[in-house]
Amino acid sequence: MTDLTSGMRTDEMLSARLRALYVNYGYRIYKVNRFEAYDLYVQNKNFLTDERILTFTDLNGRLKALKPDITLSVVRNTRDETLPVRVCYSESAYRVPRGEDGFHEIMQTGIEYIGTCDTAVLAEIILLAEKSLQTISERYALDISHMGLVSELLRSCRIPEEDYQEVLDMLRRKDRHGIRAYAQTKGLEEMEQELLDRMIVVSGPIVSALECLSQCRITDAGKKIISELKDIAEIVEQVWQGTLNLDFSVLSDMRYYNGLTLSGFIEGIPVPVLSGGQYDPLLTRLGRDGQGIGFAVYLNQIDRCMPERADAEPLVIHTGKDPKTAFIEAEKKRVYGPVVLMPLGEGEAQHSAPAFQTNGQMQTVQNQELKQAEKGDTVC
Amino acid sequence: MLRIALPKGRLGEKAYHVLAEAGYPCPELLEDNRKLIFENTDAGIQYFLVKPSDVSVYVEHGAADAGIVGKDILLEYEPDIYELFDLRMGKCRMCVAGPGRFRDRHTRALRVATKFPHIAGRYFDAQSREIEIIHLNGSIELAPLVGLSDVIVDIVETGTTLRENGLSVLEEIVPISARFIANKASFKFKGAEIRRILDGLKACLPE
Repeated sequence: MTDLTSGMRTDEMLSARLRALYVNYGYRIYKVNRFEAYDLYVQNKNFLTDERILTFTDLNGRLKALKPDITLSVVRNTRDETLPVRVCYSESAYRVPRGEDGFHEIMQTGIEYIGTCDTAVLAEIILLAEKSLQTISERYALDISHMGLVSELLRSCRIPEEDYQEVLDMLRRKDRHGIRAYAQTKGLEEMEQELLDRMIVVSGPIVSALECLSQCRITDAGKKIISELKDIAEIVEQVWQGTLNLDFSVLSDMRYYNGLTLSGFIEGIPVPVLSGGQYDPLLTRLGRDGQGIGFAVYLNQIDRCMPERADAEPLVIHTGKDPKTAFIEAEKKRVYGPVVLMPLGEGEAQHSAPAFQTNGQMQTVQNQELKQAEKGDTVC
Repeated sequence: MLRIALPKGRLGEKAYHVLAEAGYPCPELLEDNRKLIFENTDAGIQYFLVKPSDVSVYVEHGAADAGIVGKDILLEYEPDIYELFDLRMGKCRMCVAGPGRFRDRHTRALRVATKFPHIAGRYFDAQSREIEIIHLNGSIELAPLVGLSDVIVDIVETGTTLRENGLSVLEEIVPISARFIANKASFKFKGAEIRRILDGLKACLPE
């Protein structure tokens, strides 16, 4: 039987494997329209990583956009479905990547869950994120954070809400000296400064990182989230041997995300290949009840960490003076692998066909027959 | 092997001396040659010498795991990297400067010549001041002298160049110094090595 993956690019192959993984967990394959009404993105532009959008006017005069994001489309287009909604997708998004000046088509495969995000659902999402990364490479790292916890920790430090953006930016950069300077300028107490400092420094296995935070003075709501995160981490660890890290540099926009956030890395790729989070406020903004969480795996740069795939060497059959026989012979030999027909040039000897490897043996074609290659035969 | 991007020039040399003291020497880097890559396999370190404004590009794109870069570059380009340590060297200030007699009368858009359009734009935007940015790549001080701009936004170290050209600091935007930065993915997979260098730098440059 033909190996279907031989005709796929690496990103297509991984995308198919990821979808198979998600389908196995009850996620339904979902197709999103390539175009969406422009207003969806204008009304939620802060949800996007970049506000620039490719637009065009359709034949009815309506302004449309090539979708820069998949989650928004899924949330809007599944609004009449019975909860919980579990969908997975492989889609292209069109946006300007960070640091670039032009639009790129970005292939992403991911899942969205809309329903009640209890401990089991959140654990399943983390587990799927771990398995998605492992599908790409054994050398992966998954960091998680929690926007609700971050919010409670900042509240514990008495950070005014108008400063949240500035502090979140410093957390994203792990800018410890910046945080210290800020804390001193604002006259924060020593315990508050200590908690802010730990938010920067904490980066490692989740249970011990949460323990480290628990020692600080934090709000009751913050303590409750820490306890929930520990529960989730513990049940994931019972079925999965990966290392789940807590890192507060993994942050999203608080206007759209309120819970768990995820960021996955593969060794050899300089940017996160997986990102996602819980986006209940987005559902509210789009007029939906309930909770929602999802993540996407970005496959654009995946080739950077993959060994180059060798093309299968074709068996070359010269058509010579009898192209009909050559055609029939070629079809018979295709069972061994790729075969190409080549017209024989004037004066060229028929036995000049190169040798090739089939089933571990070097073989060649002489007078339209497959033979064991001998010393001196041309090798492709 | 940890790959570190260093800025060519004075700051790069100073930063290298601290890194060497911290246990990551590569003496060949100080020799008079045109090489761009220097390696000390025993110390597990490889240095790249790059244009100062390119350091963050090398780090953000993962060609280097870490680097030394001025805060001015980080503010201008806002790369998605970790900013792990303030080396407190290469200290200077990002300033608005202009002729001593200059008064902004707000009768038209302020013409601002700068190498740092993003920093200048954000600074004046926060003041709701309409400006026209004139992007230059060098000799910024010349712009107000020949009528190309009203003021400049530039780095001021000692202020000598400004004084010698009849200019003075009108407003200080932000203090600048060199930072030790790291690629976010490298921090996940080479975190122990990056933290070791960080500890070495901190030991050499106590607060």
